Amino acid sequence: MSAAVPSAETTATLPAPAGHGAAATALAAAPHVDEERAATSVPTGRLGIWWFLASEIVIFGGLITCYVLFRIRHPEWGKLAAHTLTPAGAVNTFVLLTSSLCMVLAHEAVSRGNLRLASQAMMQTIFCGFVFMGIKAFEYGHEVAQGFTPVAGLFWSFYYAMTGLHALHVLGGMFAILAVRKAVARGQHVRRVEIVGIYWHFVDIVWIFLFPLLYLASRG
Amino acid sequence: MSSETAAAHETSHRVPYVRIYWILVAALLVSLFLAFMEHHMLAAALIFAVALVKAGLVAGYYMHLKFEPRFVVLVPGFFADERIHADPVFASTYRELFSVDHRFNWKPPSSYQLHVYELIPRSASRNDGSGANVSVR
Repeated sequence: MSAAVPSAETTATLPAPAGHGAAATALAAAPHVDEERAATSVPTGRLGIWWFLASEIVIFGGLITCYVLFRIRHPEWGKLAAHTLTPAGAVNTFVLLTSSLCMVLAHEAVSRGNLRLASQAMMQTIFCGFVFMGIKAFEYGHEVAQGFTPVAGLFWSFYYAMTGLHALHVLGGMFAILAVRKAVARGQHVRRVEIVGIYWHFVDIVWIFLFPLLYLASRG
Repeated sequence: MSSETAAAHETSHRVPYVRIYWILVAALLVSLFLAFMEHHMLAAALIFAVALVKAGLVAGYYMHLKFEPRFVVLVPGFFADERIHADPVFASTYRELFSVDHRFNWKPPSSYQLHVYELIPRSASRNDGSGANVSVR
């Protein structure tokens, strides 16, 4: 009980909001680990990931805007974009869309209390991430073999910077999902499934814009 | 938002996730098809429009942005200003849009106390054996 003593002293000096003691007691006594904290009308975790995504939008938004401005100025980049593997890019778009579906189904399974199904769906999401990274690695190999390295020209610099940064986000997302899945398999932190899912869908959205910009815009 | 209202919030929106997935796949095929159009600039504009629709579907339904409360909190004074609401066009539009005023309907969620006293060890505030919460005066 030694741990309880300092906290009692700390809180005694602070004015506790009246009328919420009972609610706080009920919450503290609740058996589940994953209680929701919120100082606004949105749970703090979800608010936090949206703040994080706001910073991500600045990173990718800046890069994409910069590329679009250069692309408009250089119509000849269309010929270079024709060297990117459009079928591979299209398959990768499909793979990421599928992974997003798996992730959102994991969230739905969690909200229904089916942690086993959620865990499986998250493994499928990670598998899709592996497939995406594999195809991406094949593309990089194919392009480098043709001499299109990151220093082969400004288009290729943009190509590798944008797809590389995106691939890093996919990799990071795979680790994050793996960590959440591990906790969910033990029945802990089930609300994090939605939060890591929101991040994963953002990575999907980035690819939705990168695919037409780098693969489809291959003319004029 | 307390956990009870959060649960109600989630169950009240049964989202057709799989149907949206097929729409997204169809949109991908449409943009691939558009890439072969004769008119380059029109094709680019249409492909971008399709990408926007896809992003909107993912953000709105998969990321649940469609079901989040609108953040009046970020512009606290503006939408509550009587002088702005005196303008009939503005008032009719924005009263509709922001029919829930989170500024005045806000009530502390049940987890508020735990949130404020972040430094309390969780094990201490959870149960001290006496049945009473130690964080209460």
